[in-house]
Order: sequence, then structure tokens, then C-alpha cells
Amino acid sequence: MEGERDREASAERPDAAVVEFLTDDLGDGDTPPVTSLSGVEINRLGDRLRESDISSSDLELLQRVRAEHFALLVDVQSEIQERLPDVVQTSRLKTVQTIVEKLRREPKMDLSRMQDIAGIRIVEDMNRAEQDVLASDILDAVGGGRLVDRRKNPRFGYRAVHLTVRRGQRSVEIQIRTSMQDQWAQIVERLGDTWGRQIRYGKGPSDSGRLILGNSKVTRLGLWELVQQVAAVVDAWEIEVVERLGEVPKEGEMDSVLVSRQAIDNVLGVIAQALEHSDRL
Amino acid sequence: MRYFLLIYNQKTGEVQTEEFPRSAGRLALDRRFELEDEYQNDPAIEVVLLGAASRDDLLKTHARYFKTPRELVAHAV
Repeated sequence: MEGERDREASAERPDAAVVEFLTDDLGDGDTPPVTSLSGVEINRLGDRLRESDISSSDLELLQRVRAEHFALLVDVQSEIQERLPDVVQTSRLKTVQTIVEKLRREPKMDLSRMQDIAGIRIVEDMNRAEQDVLASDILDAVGGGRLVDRRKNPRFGYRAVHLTVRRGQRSVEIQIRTSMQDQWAQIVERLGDTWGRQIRYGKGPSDSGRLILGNSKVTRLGLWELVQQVAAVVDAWEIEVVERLGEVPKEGEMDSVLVSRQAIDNVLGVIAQALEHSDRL
Repeated sequence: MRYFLLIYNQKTGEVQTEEFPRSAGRLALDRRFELEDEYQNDPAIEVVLLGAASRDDLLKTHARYFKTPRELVAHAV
């Protein structure tokens, strides 16, 4: 299996656009030519990053890998903008720390197969049926890719539609979120800055029994449980809305949509109250 | 499209921003690598390079860097 993996990885070389980007003259006129890494070299680098502290030579190699992904990111973002100019999109490149953390969290992952070194996030005020249409339009714009529906298979409350566009050794992960899915994810990501990124991966907050700053009743764990409730009620509301699309509501049917929406506001209201006197948790 | 280089303090929520035009993508990336090197011993500092059409788009897709948890929740209510 190892040999197959290596052969597959070696067969893919950088395209001309990547080399052009990597050798881009920044004004000093002396930028040296750059040779891209093979899949085997990238995977060996990943193994070293997983197992030991990062050396300066490995950091240099990782920056080259990241730069190659950045070049693809520029291309894919342009393709989306050209075909779908009204879509709000932001690109980002994973940090060194989060790449290393992911390698250590997932010991079997090859660095050359890590799909989210480069990412694009798209957030629209839309329902789930519109989210499906947008995902399909984006796949058309970028010439195809793999779709993962994290609404059906959420990760610890996180819901979105993800597309993976792979070209040669490089991938871009496109996250497509409704406004509500995004608002929930942003709250979790922000909490993770203080409570630790592990909350994104199903583990509770660090120091979970500690009271929220400025609040004598609510602990981090208590607040975290409320945030989890928000994910569940948002899911119920989004499903409810789509199921009612295009139908003439019968008596009482719209009530269930409103009840679902009210449930979201109720839980968020409790969280807002808990945070009333705290910006820093 | 523009590039926004953020130096974000996860503990305090403070953020500094540098902007680059679309044509200076490689320059923005090199500046990011330089800043990552500068802050490598400070785990609270996250250096991020984001590409977006405008600052408003950035606020829409990456509100976490610009709002407190309380503000994020208040916005969602």
C-alpha cells in the first residue's frame, strides 16, 4: 500500500502556474527558481512534523507546500468570482500550528492528502435548498470536486456543505455555510480561542468547571452545553423551513416553523445573558 | 480582491491588519511567513492571511477575529 501511495503521489508534478507563482519576482530581480516537492517528499515531511519538533529546514519545506496551495487558492477563488461574482467568499491558508496539530491528531493522514491546507469560506443568507444549488453552481465553476454534506453528518454540531477541489498534489476545501450555520461556527471558533481548539473536536472546554467571568452561576461547561443546544435547534429550524418551501401552509403548520425559530432565540438569549458582563469569558 | 494580513491575539481579541492589493499576493504571503517567524514563541498570536473582495466580506465570513463572544451571540439573536 505504501508503494502505491508513493507512486500515485510521485506521478503528480506541479503545473506551470504554480512554478510561475513561486518564482514571482517581488521586485529585487533575483528570486531563485523553485522546484516543487513530490508527493513522497511531502509525506515524509508530514511524518517528521508529526513525530518531532519542527526543524528550520522542515519549516522551509512546509512554507513551500503552503505557498503551492496558496497559488491554487488564488486560481480557484478567481474561477468562482468570474462565474459567480455576487458570492461572498474569503480565502485562507492553514497555520503551521494547525497543520502540525492535525497531523498529530490523525496519525494515518498523509500530508499530501490533507484537504484543508487551503480553504475558501462562503457565507450566504440562504436556506438549505439554496445552499444545495449554490454548491452545485460552485462545482460547475471550478470544474468539479467532491461534496461532503456535513448537514447530514455534522461534526460535533458543525454543519455546512464542503467541497474539495483537487489538482495534482494540492487541494482547496470550500466551506459553504448558511448564515445560521456560520454564526454558530463562529461562536464555537471564538470560544475555542479561550477554551482550547479541542472543543471543535468533541472535547469539552479546558477548566470546564470554571465560572464565566462576571457570572456567578454559569460554568464554561454549562455554557458549552447551551451552545450545543443551539446547534440542534438551528438544525431543526433549517429542516423545517425547507420542508415548508413551496407549500401553502395548512392551519398550524407555520406555527412549527415559528416555534423552532423561537427555540433558537430562547437558547441564544440565555447565552447572551450569561455573557452579559463578560467579553473575555 | 485584496489580501488582509491579521495579527490576532487569541487571549485579548485584539487584531492588527495590513492590506495588500490583489497583485501583491506573493508579497503578502512572504510577509505572513515573516510575521509567523516573529511570533513563533507566542502561542496567543495567530497570524492569518485572508483574501476577500472587501473588509465587509471579511467581517461576514470571519467575524470571529473582529467580535467578542458576547457580540457574536448578540448578532445571532
